[in-house]
Amino acid sequence: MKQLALLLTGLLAASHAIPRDWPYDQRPSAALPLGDLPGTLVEETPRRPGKRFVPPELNELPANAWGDLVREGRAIFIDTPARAPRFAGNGMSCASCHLGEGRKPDAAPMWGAWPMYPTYRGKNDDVNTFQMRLQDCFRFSLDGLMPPLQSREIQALTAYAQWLARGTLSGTPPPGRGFVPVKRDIEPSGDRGRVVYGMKCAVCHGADGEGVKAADGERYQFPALWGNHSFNRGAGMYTVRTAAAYIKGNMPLGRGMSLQDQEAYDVALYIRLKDRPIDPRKGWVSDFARGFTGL
Amino acid sequence: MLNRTPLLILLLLAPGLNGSAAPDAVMQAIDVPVWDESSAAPAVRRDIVPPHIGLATEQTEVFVADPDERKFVPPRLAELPDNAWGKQVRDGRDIFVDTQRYARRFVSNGLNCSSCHLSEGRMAGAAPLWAGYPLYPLYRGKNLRANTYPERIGECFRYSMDGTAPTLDSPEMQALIAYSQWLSTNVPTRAIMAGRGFAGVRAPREASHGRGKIVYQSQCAVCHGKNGEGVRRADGGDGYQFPPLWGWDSYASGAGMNKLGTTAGFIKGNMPLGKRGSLTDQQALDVAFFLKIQSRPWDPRMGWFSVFMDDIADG
Repeated sequence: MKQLALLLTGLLAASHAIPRDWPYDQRPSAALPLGDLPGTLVEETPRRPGKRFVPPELNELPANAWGDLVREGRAIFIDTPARAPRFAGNGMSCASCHLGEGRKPDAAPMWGAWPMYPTYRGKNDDVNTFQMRLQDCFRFSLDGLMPPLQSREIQALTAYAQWLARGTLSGTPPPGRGFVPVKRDIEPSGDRGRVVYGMKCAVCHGADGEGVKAADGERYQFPALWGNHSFNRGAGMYTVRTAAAYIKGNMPLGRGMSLQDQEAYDVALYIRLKDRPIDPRKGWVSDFARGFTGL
Repeated sequence: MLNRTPLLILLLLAPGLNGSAAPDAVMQAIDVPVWDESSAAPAVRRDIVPPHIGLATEQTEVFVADPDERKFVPPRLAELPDNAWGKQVRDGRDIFVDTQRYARRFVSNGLNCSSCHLSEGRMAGAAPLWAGYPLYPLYRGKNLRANTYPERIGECFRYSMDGTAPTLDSPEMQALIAYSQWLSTNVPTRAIMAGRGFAGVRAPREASHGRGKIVYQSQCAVCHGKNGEGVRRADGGDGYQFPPLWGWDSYASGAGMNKLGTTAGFIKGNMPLGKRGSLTDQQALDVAFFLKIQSRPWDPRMGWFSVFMDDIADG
């Protein structure tokens, strides 16, 4: 009964997540309409209207050595387990979080990150170059190994990010960088998160967060949210507020900004409480102790 | 033309000969960019450097060669915040202006980064960092592949500083990257900025080291020394007040500054110091040729045999 009430409140909350006076300006969709849709629907409603940077298109790349490096970076970016197998650890690609091949605003786009580096990061209390940031992504979010700075993978990903950022001003944060802002004073609840997860997320990510494999049976169509094939406890996505900001801006896929801050926080906590690879900065003892402290 | 053909073939066979043997044939191989001489009228602008106390007058204006050309103005050092990132950038500037002290383990000659990249890497026409950093990763014909910016810095150390390329995770490398990115604040990524690299020269006649020697003695030797040995720092520290132009403390043969067109463009746009644009293209090219035929550390990509053959060829 209590669950039913929660479900109803969740539905009610979802129904007025979008304010009535939302500016519904139209823009052409990047996706082609499916064949069985009625009419040729090529317009979609942006949930966060405003000017956004438009990265260059793939066919603008020249056919030379630099273009090859950028194309290789893109291939690694969208298919990391297959194209960077020596460093990738789990089933995720860079594009699992950086949606739209690293182009989508509010999903930590590459063009938003590139002009800001080198920058100070509290995570390791040091000034990080962009290449070191890439290494952290491999180490934590991909639960793999840090590629050496001179490796082909780092060079290709650097070239890809710099190409996507063509025209952004160095040192100036472009709008749409990182994730959307969320409220900070929110008390998340894993129980409510489980309800929201079952309603909104489980259809793609699976009832047990196992994700959905692609037709080839190896790659993931929808990434696993916990378990051994997901990001580890050192990833930024393991932080509840970061995950909530990501969820709010992008999830459910194609319906970003449809959840409320509270719902996003709840789901983020629910995902955090699940089992996943340990933080590589910590030993197995602290991971063992985690079961007793409940953190 | 007929009498040049055997020489050209000889040049293809023995690259070491192109120093003193056949200047005309060398000229045929140089791709000379166009230098716009239409805006040579002297003008003044505010100097960014405060005047020294010992100066007789409070001169706060400097002459600029081309006043109409708009150049990017990098941020000032005082604008840096007092945090970890600001410290990293300041460290990078320290390394840049006094490489002899702050990146000693990677340098084996007497130069600093700012020996060529004048005004702490800010001077337009002297390969400013704010025009270089936003372009990388970039394809370079020197090694026939796309280079990231840290690799490019490594090549500066390897050739121009005649030293060792810093490892990509060394604090020196990280500080130099941070300094470059800070100097490029608000420069669009991949934009080709006015003032990038060096000026181009277009000389009516082929280069002559004989004329170059005369120009060198009259215009350059007062600072760089009669034998190109430079002037050491007055406070006794490592490094030079005016960098040596040849000899063991100068750049290696593999450096970009050892290419005739590059040297001439640098000289034309920046030398004599404070009197940029006062040499003609022909004079700049002649001096560049005079510098090229001097002895300097050899190209680290070449083995001792090629170096030995070069010495024989140069006689």
